[in-house]
Amino acid sequence: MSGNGAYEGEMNEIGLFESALRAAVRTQPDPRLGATLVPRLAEVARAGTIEAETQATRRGAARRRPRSRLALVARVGLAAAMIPLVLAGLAFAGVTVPGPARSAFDTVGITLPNQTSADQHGTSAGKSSDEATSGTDTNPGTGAQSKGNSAVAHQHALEQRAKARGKAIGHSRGKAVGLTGSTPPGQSGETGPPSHSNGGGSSATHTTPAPDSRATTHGNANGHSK
Amino acid sequence: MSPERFRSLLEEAREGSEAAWQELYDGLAPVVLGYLRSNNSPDPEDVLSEVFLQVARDIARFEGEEPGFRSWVFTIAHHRLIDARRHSARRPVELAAEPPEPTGRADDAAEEALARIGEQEVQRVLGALSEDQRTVLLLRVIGDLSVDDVAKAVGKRPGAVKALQRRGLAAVKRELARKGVTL
Repeated sequence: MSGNGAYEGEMNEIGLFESALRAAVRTQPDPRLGATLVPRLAEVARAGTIEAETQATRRGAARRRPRSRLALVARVGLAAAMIPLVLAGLAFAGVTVPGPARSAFDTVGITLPNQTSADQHGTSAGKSSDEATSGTDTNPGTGAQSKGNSAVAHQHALEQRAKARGKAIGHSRGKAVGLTGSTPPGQSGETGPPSHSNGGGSSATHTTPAPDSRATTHGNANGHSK
Repeated sequence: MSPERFRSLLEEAREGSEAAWQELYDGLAPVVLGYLRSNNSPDPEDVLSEVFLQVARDIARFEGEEPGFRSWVFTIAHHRLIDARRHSARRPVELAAEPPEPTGRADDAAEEALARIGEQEVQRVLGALSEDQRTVLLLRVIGDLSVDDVAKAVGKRPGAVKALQRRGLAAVKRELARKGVTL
């Protein structure tokens, strides 16, 4: 052992202590202990060696054992069989399965659940979008109702068109009358608003042609304001 | 012992030769028992039996030469010593008979006398050390273990073992100087 910088005398002291320690500590065990222990040690060692060899042999055999080809094929087959099952499981869970997978199921006559019809038919060739749309109609009364709605809407549209036409007539006439009058608008000496002026009046009042130019002018203004 | 001789002895011991085990036991049992006694092992001869039984159980897996074997045996001894201390701490204290006196040494009478004289002083100095310092010094001196082997045996880093050894030797020097002992 190193004294780590100790003087030579100290090192000798330590060395002597170590020698004394070796001599002092060394003690012979009871000979009876050795007499009983040694045969047991030999027996235990023999059993331990046999066990270790057996384990090593087992380990080696397990390492060398080739895998059966049939087992390999079975594993591959099982993995392949799991694919459609997984897809079907996903479909049952509500997941939209990709088109090619659905086509494969359609080919063998299986319709996957929880797939939207647009998705289902969108992938099928030769089906029009009209068919797809009609396929989503589940309520038969809905068509008639929509037809009725469209008739009302059509009627409303016609009314609006008629109103618009009236405005247009008033507009053109008013303009024509106003422009053709002897007094230009605003120069007749009347500076205030007309007594019958109704800034927010209904357009129906203006559909009727006014007898004088002022009324026509105001009708025109109202028509423009709208 | 030459390396070839040790290898053949080890092989015979693995095969269960009693003669081989007797040789191994005679060579190592005294120092292992000394280590256990110096480290205040409870029932040191019982612990010695456990140490050798574990050596016998695991000898098929041991690979190495004589120094490695010695180091391995002392590592097992240290672990069994810790187990024995824990076990005795859990048990109620029992008054045990004095351990049998050593029945003899391999050394001649002069060395025997010297060892007997030195033994009391050595035990006193060892008692002045801390437990870790004593363990490290005993494994280094009695077991002839390297610093790395001691570190493995006691579960410490080599740097910590070196520090313990340095402090232990300083304490030994102090104790020797205090008593004016010149060995």
